[in-house]
This record gives sequence, C-alpha cells and structure tokens, in this order.
Amino acid sequence: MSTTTTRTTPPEGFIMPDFGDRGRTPAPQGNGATAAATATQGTGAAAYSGPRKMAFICSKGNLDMAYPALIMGNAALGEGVEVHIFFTFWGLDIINTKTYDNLKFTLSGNTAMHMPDLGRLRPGLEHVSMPQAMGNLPGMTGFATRMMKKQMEEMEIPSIPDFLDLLQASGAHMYACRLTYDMMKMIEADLHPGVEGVISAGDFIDIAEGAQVVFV
Amino acid sequence: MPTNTLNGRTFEVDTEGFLTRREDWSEDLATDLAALIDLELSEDHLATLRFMREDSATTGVTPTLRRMQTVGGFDIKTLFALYPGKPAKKMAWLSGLPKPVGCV
Amino acid sequence: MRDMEKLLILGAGTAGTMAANHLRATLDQDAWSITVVDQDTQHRYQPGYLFIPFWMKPERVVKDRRELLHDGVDFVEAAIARVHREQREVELVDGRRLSYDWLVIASGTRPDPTLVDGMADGALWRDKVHEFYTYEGSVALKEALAGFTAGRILVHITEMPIKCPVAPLEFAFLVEDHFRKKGVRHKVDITYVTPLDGAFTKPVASAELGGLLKDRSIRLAADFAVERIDNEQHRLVAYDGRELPFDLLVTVPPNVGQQFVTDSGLGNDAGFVPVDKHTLRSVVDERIFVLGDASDIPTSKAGSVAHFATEEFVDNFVAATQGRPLPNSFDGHANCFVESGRGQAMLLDFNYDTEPLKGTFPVPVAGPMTLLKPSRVNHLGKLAFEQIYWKMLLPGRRLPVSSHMSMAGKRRPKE
Repeated sequence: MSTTTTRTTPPEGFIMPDFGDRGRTPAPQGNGATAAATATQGTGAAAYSGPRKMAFICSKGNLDMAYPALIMGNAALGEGVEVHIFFTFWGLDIINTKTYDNLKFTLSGNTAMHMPDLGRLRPGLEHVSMPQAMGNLPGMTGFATRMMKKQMEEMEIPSIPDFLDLLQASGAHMYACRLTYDMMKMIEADLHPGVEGVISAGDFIDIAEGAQVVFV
Repeated sequence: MPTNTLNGRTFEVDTEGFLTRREDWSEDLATDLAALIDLELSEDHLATLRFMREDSATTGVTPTLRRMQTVGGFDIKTLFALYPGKPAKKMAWLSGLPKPVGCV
Repeated sequence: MRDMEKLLILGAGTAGTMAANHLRATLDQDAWSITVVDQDTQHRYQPGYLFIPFWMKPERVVKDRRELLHDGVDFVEAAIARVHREQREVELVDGRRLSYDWLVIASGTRPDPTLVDGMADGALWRDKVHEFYTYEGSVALKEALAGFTAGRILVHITEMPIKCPVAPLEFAFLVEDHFRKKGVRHKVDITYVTPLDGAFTKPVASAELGGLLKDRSIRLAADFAVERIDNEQHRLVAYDGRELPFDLLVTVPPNVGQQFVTDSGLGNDAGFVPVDKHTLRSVVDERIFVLGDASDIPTSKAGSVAHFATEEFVDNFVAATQGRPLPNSFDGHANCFVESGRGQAMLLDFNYDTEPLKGTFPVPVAGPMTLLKPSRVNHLGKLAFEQIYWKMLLPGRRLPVSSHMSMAGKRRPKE
C-alpha cells in the first residue's frame, strides 16, 4: 500500500470528532462503513431542512442575565450552529453602547447570592445565602457588580462590549426589538455595530423558523 | 486508550478522536488529518496551528478563539473562513490538542 | 509739503478693520492716509452665524463697517476688480482706480457652493441642502430646522481648508442639543461627514472631539471625498462609491479666496495669496501684506489667527516702510472656542508647531478655562467674546492674551 496518495475518507475504525459537516451536506452518500462516533442526524420529517439554528431572546439588562445568552450563543457558534439573538425590553441595554459597559448585578431578588470566598472565613459559609435586606444597603449593587466582573475576568470571560465584538466576528446575527426600541427612544447610532437591524417580533419569528429558541 | 492509524502512523486518541500525546503531532500528520475534513492546509492554516501549539505549551490548555485573536493576532472572521463551521474544534483536533473546554 | 504715503486695505472684515485701527493709532496722521475698501457697509460678527439657526437674532450680528473704523480712516464702498502691482493701483469694478504705496489684502475667504456638482445648482439648495457660512444661509437654515422633526441629518465638510474648521463640529453638537431639548432626538439620525480621517485635523484634538461625537450619539463618516449631491435620491455621493441618504444636509461648501485675487494673478489654485508664514508678506511683492483668511498660511482660518497675526504685523509694517528688517515672527497662534452643546464649550490653543493639547488656559492649573475639555466657563467665554470682539478686538485694544502661543498649562501626550 502506498502512502503517497493522501486519503480523504477516514480508514476503518478511525475515531474522529463530529464536526457537523457531513451530516449537513444535502445528501449524505451511503457511508455505512465509516465508523460510528458520528451521531446520525435525526430522520424525523421536519419542515425545516437547513443547518442547525438557535435563536436567543434576551429580555433582561442585569449583568448576570446578559451573560448566559451571550455565552451560549458563542458556544453554539463554535459548534457551527447558526445563531440569532433578539434583544428586547431591558435586554436592549446589552447592545446599547451607552449602557452596555455599565450593566449591574444586584443582590435584591437573588436568593442564590452566596459567595465561594466566604468559605475561607468559616467552612460552610460559602453555601449560605446573603440576607435579602443586604441588597438594600447603599453601595451594595456596585460592590456586587465589581465582584462579579472580577470573577468573570478571572475566568477569562470578556466584558460585554468585547463579547459583542466576538459574537459579531464569529458571525452571530443580532437584532433589536422594534417596539421596545421605540418605547425607550433609543438612537440607532448607539447600537453596537454588530446589530443588523431593528426588527419587529414578527420578523424575528420568521427568522427563527426551524430554530431552537432560548428565552432569557 | 484507543489508537488511530492513518497513512502508516499510529497515535493514541481519546474517545472523541483528539490526540492525547503532544509528541505524536507533526505538521505532516495535521495535513493528513485535514484531508479527512476536506481541508488543504495553507500557510495561513499552519500559522494558526503553530500558534496553538506554542501557546498551549506555556498555558497547558487549548487556546480559545478569543485568545487566538487577542494574543495570537488572528482575526476571528478569518478563522471562521479558514475552518468553516467549527473553527475551535477543528483547530484543536488538527493541532493535536485536547478539545477546547472554555466557553469563549 | 511732501505727498502723503498711501496705505490701502482691501476688505473691512475682522482683519482689515483691526489692521486699519491699529495702524491709525501708530502711523502719523499727517504723513499717512489709510483707506479701506469693501463691497458693502455691513460688518458681520461671523461667529454668530453658528448660533443664528438656534437662538441668536440675525440682526444682532450686523453693524455698520464705517462706525467700526477709527477717525482718520477713509472708507470706500466698492467691489474690487483687480490689483495692478506694476502701477501700484487697485482697479474697482465701477472703473475707478485707487493708487497705493502699501497694500494690505484682508479680503478673507468665501464659500463657493458652485464647485460641487448638485450643490448650488441643485433643486434642493436652500430647501434640504443648507449652509451656515453666510448670513442668508444661516437664516434659511433656522427655518429649515424649525420644521424638522424626524429624519437623517448630515453635517458635512466638502474639503479643507475651511474658515473656522471647528464650526461644523460645533454645529453638530448644537443641533444634537436642539433635538434633545425638543424630545425628538431618537427620531433624528445625525452623521458628521468629513474628508479628514477623524473629527479634526490634529491627533489629540481629533481623539477628544471624536470621543465627544460618540458620547452624543453622532455618527462619524470619515475620509469622505464628496463627488456630488444626488438631488433626486437625496444622497451625498463620494468618489469611493459610498452614498449617504439625507433629509437635511448641512454642508460647508469649498472655501476659496476672492475672485479679484485670482484675477490679479496673486492667488494659488484656491485663490489664497502665498505669503511668508512668519511675516505675512507676499512672496512676490514686498509692498503687499496679507492678513486674515486671505493668505495661505498653514493654520486655521479664524478670527483669533487674524487677531494674533495683526498684532505681530503692526511693528513689522512700520519697520518695512522704514526699510528696516522685520522684528516680529508670527507663530501661527490660533485659539478657538468649540461649542460642545449642553451649555458647555471646549477651548483649543495651538500654533504652526504645536497641536491642540489638553490642560488649562491661560494660567496653569488655575485656568479658569479648560483646554480640550468641555466646561461651562469656556461656554461663557465664547458668549462673552461677542462683546470683546466689538468693543476691544476691532478697535485695536490689546487683550490680556499673548499673540505668541504659550506652553504654560499645556500637557503633552504621554509617549
């Protein structure tokens, strides 16, 4: 057997990751012989037959509510999934360049507020929720926001502005909700340049056809 | 650990097919692997793989796309063009590094 | 009795009026006659053009040129046809000829909207395409703004150099304010369109002013070399193919020198007179000096430059008439208030060699004015300048500001 010709199909028993390319080509030829780490596409007769799509709806402007969709959207892009993100209501703050670097995290209404670092003070304390009343103390929101930003930074999670740049460069499709955009009297020049347009909810439903929808 | 054999080379991989031993990797192997996903490695491709090797040698983890941009100076859009679909995963596989775990 | 020496000044604007008044106080009444020629009798406070579209009463910017000239200065109301250097005569459009021993050209610059395809000759001129570099234009723009409640506004510079290079920026900030106060800012999209690669000509100021544009949600379209105005589609078209749609275009037409300068063979391609930038003396004729915007000196075309240059010029002129070497060297000092909206202004202070920097003015740390940073004091300074202009500058009274730029209070950017 000569090794001068490179092969373009994996040999028998070859283990390789699923890059999603093969299942997505229009008509996968009978590749029955190729080995099996590749998950076969579901064969249910869905009306939509394009690439996998995910649609995120961001409706909150809190710092801790901004990240989940951005992180998931970014992960989806990394997996070759087509990503659409619709920003509505306070979620518009995430794509408004006047506010997006100033999103806040607050204790109030967040009973999951316990801090890993407190475990060093007294073991067990890391699982104890902060009393809700603490959220009303002056300066508490600023403190909590700084804490969270620091923790995110330690995990090498980019700031919101950088994150939007990243999503834009990775090819995410981002939109602002027309109704709330008008309601909040936003200025188009303030939108992050990655935002493709100000569209109605109906438009977004059209765009999201066949997508898995995630509401945040 | 399972092993893969390609064009006369045998190397150890994890259950998904990512190389487990750094020293098994060579640019020739990367070229052969790339052929399996319909990629012909250009100098641009190799530059990204070399950066990933060097960077991971110091940090111990597979660089994220964002790190490729901020530290390596590669444009993310270009990476998507070079490795269509799943750039991070493809680059990790081709450069013989573990599957990327970071979210960004 | 020997003949009087004749000084002829062409133009009774800021520079011409200041020069006449300064020299009348310096030159011997019995030995020198001073004559100023201008085509009309209305002296306009040009910084006011910026405010007319918003709040300033138009009539407030106009005064009679003759009342602003000191006794002993003759005024001739006539348009100038050309300068005959060989005969030392100036020919007027009505055919009269005025002879001179020394000539000061202070005829300024004028906007020429005929140089852009679709500007002055377009159907939208003075309808949706406006300028504020003339009295008429500024008044017309006031009406256009009053009826504007939604749409796209472009604030546009056709090409450099222009008179008062910060005025279009100021207009952008003021118009932004205007719509915020009306509560319809979100319905108005404002873009600042410039042929430069940033908000201003010099790097530090460009960064500061660019940041301010962003802060006010004003878009920046840089490196925009306009080819024509598309009057049918309401678009501004650039040579590189970019097209910007507009509902209101506020443009600054190309600024050129006066026609008689070109006709006399004294001007460069834009009609500005080449001079030695430190003495302001014509490079081709030692009997001619050029003050104000009419020369080609590489600094801003602005009243402050005319003011500082004139103070340097007076001694030089006297020396020149006596055949002595010229004692003073002008450094290109310019000092501009930049209205930044919200009742504040910035201050720029620079010359040929030093770009506008941050700091305080005129006194280090104490200020009270802040360089390159918006403040209320600067804004009040700008408003107060109107009275200073009429009562001190034009009559030739010295201001407590050196005509040479000082580095005191300025901070150089860190390397």
